Amino acid sequence: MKLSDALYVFSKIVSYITLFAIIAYIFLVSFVPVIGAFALKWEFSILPEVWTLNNIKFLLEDPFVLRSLYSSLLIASITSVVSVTIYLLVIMFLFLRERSRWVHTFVEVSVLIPLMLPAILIALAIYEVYRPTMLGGTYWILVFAHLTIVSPYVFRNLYSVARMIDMKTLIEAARSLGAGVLTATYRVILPNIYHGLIGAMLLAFAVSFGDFEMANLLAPWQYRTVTIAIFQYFFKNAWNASAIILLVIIVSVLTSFLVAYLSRKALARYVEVVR
Amino acid sequence: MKEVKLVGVSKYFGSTVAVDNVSLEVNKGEFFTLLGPSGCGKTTTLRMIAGFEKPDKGRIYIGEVLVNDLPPEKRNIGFVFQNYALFPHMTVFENIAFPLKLKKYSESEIRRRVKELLSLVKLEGFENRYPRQLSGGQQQRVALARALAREPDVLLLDEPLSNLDALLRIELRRELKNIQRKTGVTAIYVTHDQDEAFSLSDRIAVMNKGRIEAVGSPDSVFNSPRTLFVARFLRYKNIFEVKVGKDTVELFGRQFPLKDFNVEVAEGKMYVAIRPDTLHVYTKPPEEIGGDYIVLEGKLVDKLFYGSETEIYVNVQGYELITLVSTSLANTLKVGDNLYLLVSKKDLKFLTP
Ligand SMILES: Nc1ncnc2c1ncn2[C@@H]1O[C@H](COP(=O)(O)OP(=O)(O)OP(=O)(O)O)[C@@H](O)[C@H]1O
Ligand SMILES: [Mg+2]
Repeated sequence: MKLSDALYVFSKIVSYITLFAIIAYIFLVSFVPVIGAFALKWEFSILPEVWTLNNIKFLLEDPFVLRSLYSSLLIASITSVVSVTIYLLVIMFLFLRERSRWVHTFVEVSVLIPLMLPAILIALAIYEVYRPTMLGGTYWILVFAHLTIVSPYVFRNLYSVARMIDMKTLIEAARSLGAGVLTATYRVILPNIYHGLIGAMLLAFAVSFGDFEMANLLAPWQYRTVTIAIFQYFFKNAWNASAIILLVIIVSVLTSFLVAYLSRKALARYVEVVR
Repeated sequence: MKEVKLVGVSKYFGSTVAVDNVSLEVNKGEFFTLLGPSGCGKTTTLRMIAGFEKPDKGRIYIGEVLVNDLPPEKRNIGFVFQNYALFPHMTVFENIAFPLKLKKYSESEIRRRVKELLSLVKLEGFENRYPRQLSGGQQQRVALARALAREPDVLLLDEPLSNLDALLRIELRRELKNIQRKTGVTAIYVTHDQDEAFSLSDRIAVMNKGRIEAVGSPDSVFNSPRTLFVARFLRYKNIFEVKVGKDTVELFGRQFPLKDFNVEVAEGKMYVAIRPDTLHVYTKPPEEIGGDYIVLEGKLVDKLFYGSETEIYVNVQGYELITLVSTSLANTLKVGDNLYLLVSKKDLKFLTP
């Protein structure tokens, strides 16, 4: 065997080990709470020393937990629908009406700002601005906050698929064939940016659902979110908190599938083929 | 099919005058071409007829209807784009069926009509392909079929062949003309390619800087240029500045009475163009020339061999004229020889600057 062959095999082994380690680590981190959800006592061993179902029972009995889950779902859904709608309009405007490169660059950079600022800073700013208004004390204040932090993800996703099609010409083609602007958007543009659209909705949902910093400061008492619940229980009983996390994981996975399924179905009504 | 009329139409983009006071009449069933160099406003004119741009001044009629305020979807037009603009997520069948579905045709009518259109553009059997599975030429055929699907009053085409390679372009050009003849649709075609314009059109308008500089049949536009721009754009050679007096004109150092020429001009600076193929070359002074001809005496300065023909350069009173002679004749000539160029007075095209 030549040296170069040996090096090749060696590097291959190293990359597999690294890959395996990373995946193992991700599993470990996510499975600690999953296993923890069934733990009563878990201190010095790899698996819990005493198992129980009490954490799950607590989960289903405590009204605060279920209520917080409902709040999170509500706020994340509104955030994802509203943000995707807004940015779809912005992007259509950019591609249909705005020819200036400068405006495109300006918008591209501006929507990234929330990534660079600490969420707590935005939360404080929103708190100051909206508290005196009608929104203060409602969950909408949190929706507004989340709209800022989801914007980079939603915009990037939509923008990158939108630039792959010639939106202006496609709309003009549809209009020359007798379709109004709305029909053209529905039947020609949406099916072609479908992947970006679903991706953007899921990301917005996930970011909003997973936020703690903003929720902690802005959520009104009756709309405390599930991340707040986890945080609060963590100091009382870590295994109870684990149970909530398990619930969150299940709900997130289900929602992702649901969103993907529903939007595919909704779109399929208007186009024969959605790929 | 309907006629199209533009009355004093202008369009500005900021400080750019894209279209400047254009008036046009396109007859029913006519193949009309807007020809001109890049940036002269052809596309903008076409897009205003389609309704994609709103004119800043003037009126546009399709048939009897003033369409200035009608959106494109209400104009019953067909538009063929340079880059095809097929819907990528739809098959060929679905693309062509799109306008028919909007018109609420029945399933069986749609099937029948799509079939008919596919045979018109010679694409039977391609129903289930996606645009990305077609060549450029095939995509443009689909686009044409789609644009014709709901029998538009006017078919607008913006450089539809310019993304195709040269051979295919010529092939599709003929088919396009045939399809237009068969359907009898009024067609307005935009191109910067004069061969395309002359071979396809019933009438041509030559545009320059947002204005129309010439309109007419291919023959009249080609043979009777009126402006310097049109002559240059149509690749006339032998263009010279001339001084026009009250009733005489000075040509190659000689005075001629103005009434001899087919020209209605004011005094002052003008240009004259002579096509190389209208210059006849003699080695001795030609005899028996009538009053309709002029003889120009000069010296051969250069020869350029082009196969069966040779381009020769003749210096007449300091002006260099280009003409073509057969290579066999050219072989008997040498640089410095005296030559006589005979040209009919009607072949001197007087041009305004
Ligand atoms: N949307 C627009 N915004 C600003 N300027 C424009 C716009 N569309 C066209 N123009 C300008 O108007 C003028 C005419 O453009 P137009 O596209 O009509 O030319 P064209 O004859 O079609 O040229 P080409 O052969 O290059 O397609 C050009 O100077 C162009 O830069
Ligand atoms: Mg153009």
